[in-house]
Amino acid sequence: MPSDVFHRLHPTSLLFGLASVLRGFLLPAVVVLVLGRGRGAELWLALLAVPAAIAAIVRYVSYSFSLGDDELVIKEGILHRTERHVPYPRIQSLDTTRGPLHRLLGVADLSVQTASGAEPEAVMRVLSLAAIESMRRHVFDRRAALGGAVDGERATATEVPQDRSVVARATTGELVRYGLIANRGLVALAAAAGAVWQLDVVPDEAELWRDVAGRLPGVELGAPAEVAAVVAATLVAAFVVLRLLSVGWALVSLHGFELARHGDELRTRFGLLTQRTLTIPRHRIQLVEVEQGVLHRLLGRFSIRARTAGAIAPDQSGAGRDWLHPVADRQVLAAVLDAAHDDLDLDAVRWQPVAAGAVGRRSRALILRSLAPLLALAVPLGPRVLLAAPVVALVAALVARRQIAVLGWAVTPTTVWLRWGWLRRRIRVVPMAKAQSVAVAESPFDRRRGMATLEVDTANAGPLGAAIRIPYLERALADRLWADINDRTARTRFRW
Amino acid sequence: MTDHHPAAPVDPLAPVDDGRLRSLDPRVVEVERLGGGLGVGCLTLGVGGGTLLAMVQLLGQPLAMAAVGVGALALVGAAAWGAWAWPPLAFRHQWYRLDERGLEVRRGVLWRRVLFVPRSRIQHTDVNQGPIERHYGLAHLVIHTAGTVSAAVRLEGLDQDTAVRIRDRLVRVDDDDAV
Repeated sequence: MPSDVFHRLHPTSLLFGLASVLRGFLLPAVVVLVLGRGRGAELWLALLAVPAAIAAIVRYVSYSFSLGDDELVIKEGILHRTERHVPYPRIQSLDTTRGPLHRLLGVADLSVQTASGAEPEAVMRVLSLAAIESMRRHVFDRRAALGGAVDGERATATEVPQDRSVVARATTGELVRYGLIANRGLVALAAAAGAVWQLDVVPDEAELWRDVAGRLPGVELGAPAEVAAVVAATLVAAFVVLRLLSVGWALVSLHGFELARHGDELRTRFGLLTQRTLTIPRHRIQLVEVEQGVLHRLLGRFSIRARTAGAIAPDQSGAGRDWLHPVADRQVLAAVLDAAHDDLDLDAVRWQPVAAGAVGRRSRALILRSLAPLLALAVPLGPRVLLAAPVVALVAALVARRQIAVLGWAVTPTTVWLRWGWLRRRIRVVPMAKAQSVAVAESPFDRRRGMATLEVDTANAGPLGAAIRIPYLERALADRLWADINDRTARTRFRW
Repeated sequence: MTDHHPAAPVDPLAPVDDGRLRSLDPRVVEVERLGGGLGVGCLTLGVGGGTLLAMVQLLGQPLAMAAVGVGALALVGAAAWGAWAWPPLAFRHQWYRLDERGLEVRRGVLWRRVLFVPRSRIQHTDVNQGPIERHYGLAHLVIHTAGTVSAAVRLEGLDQDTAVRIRDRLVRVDDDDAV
């Protein structure tokens, strides 16, 4: 595509624009129709829909973009004109999303991701697949040409002569396992329940309950044992249904999951109805997280995520952009870690324990934290609740022991590892080159025991605060590690 | 960690990035006290209003009124004492150190923290001044990194000149950052 020539979006963009307007008005329209309230309601609705449709048409007509030598330029708007310039070196990835309509028409939504901000820099709805490919090639060529002199690694990130090697695939069986683990059934159910509630077509609940119970053979409400049996049966049925829904959700949203490596980039592709391709440049991976919940452990699987620079807006479906693999076994885990970054060998990590006094401290903290709500409950429910105190304290102490037993860390010349969590086991690894700052923190309780906490921060570390937080370290050790990591990070240049 | 105190204020004309541990400017204590005083003033207004209302409600019960009055006085007194006594304490527990590797900031009386930001991670720096700071000739430095917790590291209580000098020393000459 030559520069300075401005292109329009694909003609079917108009269709998609109108379709999204319709979708926005669908639920109110259904509500109005079903409730049949008010004479002019339908007219009002139509009146409101028309300006929205006109806006969609205007948006399409006024949208144009050009692929220059140095940057992508996007112009849109008639009344409010905006012109956006996105320099190629800033473009982290070009991701596509394709719903069923997209697939039918051979087009896709393209989102231009940069390292800054949670929202994509630009979302182009829609472009033909050929246009997207040619755009990808152009952007990557220019990016390599512009950034090639500084670091050799980036120069190899050109699109065309790339060897594409598949790192991992998720078979249907794996996705079923994931569905069982992830328990997303509630999401699907909540959506359905919400819709039903909105439409107000469900009769009074008590009646419904009586109706259902009346149909069950030999059940008469009022007999406690039978009520209990009904409740238990309902719970079991609900559990099974939710798991089935979750499996269905997994099969649909992660269908055909594939992780491939294109030189310096990782690409994931997944989805049945809506197919997504997401790009994760390797050098932008700030930290890798491996997770194993109880069900994961039962099935011998791991979930692997990567956090990249530039905040990532979580996907609504929960199949977030930071997946490296939702359900990997031990071998696939090794392959994925290897593909994500050099020196990520989980088996070679020599986990170090925390300070010896950690168990005592953690036990005390947990016991206090679990007895406090018990005390609070004793006020309304009476002092008999306190009889449970020894049991609660014992459980808290056992949990604390387990937590500290699992807690481990490791610092290699190029990475920092942390392992924690007794129920949901988590492992995090941060490449030293991605560390933004290092801190040693000391609470008064730490000070009393001669301990400290080491914190390593990266970009986009997530809601938990610093990317890696190692508590209960001996203070001298914490200071030494701090100085060590300072040295290494000060010597390395940070590159996005 | 934060156990030792520098013997004397460091010569302000010495180069800022000599790698020595430096205290903040002592004037920051007054700035903090003033700020704290303003806060206590607002608190007094609020507590005073609340006490008046309570007194009106409790007219005729001298014991209760006395209790409320004493309680309000105690609250305001404690806040005022805190605003007076805290800043010098916090000041004694704050240091920074700048050298060719990066910036180190030590802070905290009870909950202590030593933070290090390598030079190469500093995206950009701001030198800001609030109105009270401006009156006293102070400024604070805000160092931005790409981190999450350390996205904006603040160094308050710096002399204006010193802050500008630190910022100048931190400006990265080699800017190959793609972003």
